[in-house]
Amino acid sequence: MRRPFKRAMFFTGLCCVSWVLASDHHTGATVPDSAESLLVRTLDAIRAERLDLALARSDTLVRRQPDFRLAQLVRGDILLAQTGKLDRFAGPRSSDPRAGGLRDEARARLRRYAQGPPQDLIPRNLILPPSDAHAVLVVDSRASRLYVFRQMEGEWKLDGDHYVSIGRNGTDKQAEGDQRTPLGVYTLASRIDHVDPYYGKVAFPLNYPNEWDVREGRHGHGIWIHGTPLTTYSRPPRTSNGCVVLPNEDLESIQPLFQTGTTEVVVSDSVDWVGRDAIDSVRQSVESALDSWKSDWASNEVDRYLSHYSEDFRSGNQDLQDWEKEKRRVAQGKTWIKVGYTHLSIMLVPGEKDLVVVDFDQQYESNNLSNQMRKRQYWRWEDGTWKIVFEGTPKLS
Amino acid sequence: MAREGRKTEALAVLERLTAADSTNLSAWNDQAALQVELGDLDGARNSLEHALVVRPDVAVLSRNLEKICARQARMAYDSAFGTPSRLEPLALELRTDPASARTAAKAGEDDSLRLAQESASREAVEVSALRDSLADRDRKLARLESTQVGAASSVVATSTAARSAAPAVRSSIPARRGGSAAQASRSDPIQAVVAWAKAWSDRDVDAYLASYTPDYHPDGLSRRQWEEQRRVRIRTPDWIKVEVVSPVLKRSGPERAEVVYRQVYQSRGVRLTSRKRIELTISQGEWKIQEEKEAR
Repeated sequence: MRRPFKRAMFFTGLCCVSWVLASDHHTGATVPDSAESLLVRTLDAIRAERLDLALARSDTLVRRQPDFRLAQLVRGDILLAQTGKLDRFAGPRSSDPRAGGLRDEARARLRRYAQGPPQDLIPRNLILPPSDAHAVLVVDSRASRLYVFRQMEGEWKLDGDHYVSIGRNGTDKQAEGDQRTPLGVYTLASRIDHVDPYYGKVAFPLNYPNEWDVREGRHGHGIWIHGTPLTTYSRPPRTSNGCVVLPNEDLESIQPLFQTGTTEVVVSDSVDWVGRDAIDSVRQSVESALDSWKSDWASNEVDRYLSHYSEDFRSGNQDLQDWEKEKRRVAQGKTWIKVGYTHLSIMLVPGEKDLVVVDFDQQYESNNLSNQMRKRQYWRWEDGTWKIVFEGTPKLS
Repeated sequence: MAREGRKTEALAVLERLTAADSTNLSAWNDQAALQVELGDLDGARNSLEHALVVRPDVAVLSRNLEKICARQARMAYDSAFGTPSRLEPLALELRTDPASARTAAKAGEDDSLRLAQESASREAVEVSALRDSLADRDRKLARLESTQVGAASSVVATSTAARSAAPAVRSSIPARRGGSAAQASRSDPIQAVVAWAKAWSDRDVDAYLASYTPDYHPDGLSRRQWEEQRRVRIRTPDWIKVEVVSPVLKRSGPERAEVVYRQVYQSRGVRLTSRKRIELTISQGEWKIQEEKEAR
């Protein structure tokens, strides 16, 4: 039903709610009846000067999701616009400090629809994700979005994206209590099924601080992926103590893909979407550096082997000098060495310049020692070549 | 409870009136007023919007709509910020009478005066009868029923639901006059549903669970999980109000019945309206809920 609204009244409402609407936006394909798509359609109706339609859609939306705070706020604005008394976003509650957070949430959610994730491109970080992982998660903190990538027909492809909230003070966590979300490549360390209801129904702690964080002197603990309080559909973009927070229904829908100890989470400020060619050329250059490291190690010529290590190398308490001393000592007892690797994965580390984390199962055999281990190395692009800056075992908790 | 029941009945009558004649502004307005009293603000807003499509210039209707919008806006903001404020009962202006029509006329809308007066006088009898019926229901309601059926014989055929609603509603009268809820529930599936809604509203979990057959459990949950879930959901809010609006009874066998109705669920910051279908069966001599689903 369409009732003629008083124009003045209408435009008051329109100006107040449409600040968030990009001038040229299309509705991207996602879950058609998700609360988010209903919200976007409600705002679309406002933009199209159909306040009646907007109201009807907001009715549907809050019936489906009464605890969706942003939806309630938008509905409050639409209703108040009908009385001619809406003069700004959140009307009489605009001075509430939480109004700004909800506005940011609206912006983030709308941006997603204004400009959906690019087709056929993938984040630069996913050079070679672990082959046995069901999924890789990529967080874009500025977009307040978590992207799920899955292997389909031998390629990693985008399989859904979700609104997320992050730390109050943003990203680049350095210290305990700084209310920031760490940037980097993390692994789901464990799964907690019985969490305080404030965290939703299930939580997945990350392995922060990982070996790179430790090397860089970062500390803190308890960085989780978790849900929202059971009575709150979603939280504004920057509201956590550093955790990555998803609406419960979103977390429920993707968590069957999660494998603790395997699933990697790339947390970045801004995802750089690139074509597969760009990914392939980086992958080839890292793999050839790795192959040459492997054969130089097997040659037992310590100088050649050490040429792959950066001046800046560190592993635990050892720096490059310690490492060199150790390797020269060991090399004396070797008559032959064989090195092989399988299950290689390569990820570009966000928040760093040209740093990749490389994992593989290493098979080492020699005349006096043989072993197998999961190895993790960080390689950095220095003066036109890849150099190892860290080597050790993955720190998985 | 009894008062609510009468309002529900009166609302059903009004709904039939407005369905029969969508230009009946007084009936729309009264319907909205009753819906507000029954807590169905979405419904009230829709009623007034219907009326305003017919006559966008009747000031009372616009003022009432604004009142409802303002109230709903406030409730929405309360939910958005998680800060429930104290809400005074909302009262709509009841008369779409010449006085208000005159206001419109002053604004230079002569036509509206005449039309509003006409419709006001046309409906005056029905509407005042209706309003009285809240106080003195039985006699007036019967009269209204016949007026309405006469006035709108062509439209009454719209729903067998409407016709079957009438006996269902009437059957609830003895239950109010006397007798315990248990007796009533043995005799009447609608009373069983109403008693169940009351137990829910009273947050009386034991009585609520006892409204179901002993082996009831929804798909995907065991009886124990379901009971636990219901206990938490019913005990957690500090208040709940569940209303059974316009129940329609269908007997599908001597021991099987189906009640379709509009459910208005309210709690702090939450308001849900849905059409529900409840299937009941006789278990240990009483009507118990066997199945519960969204209707339509």
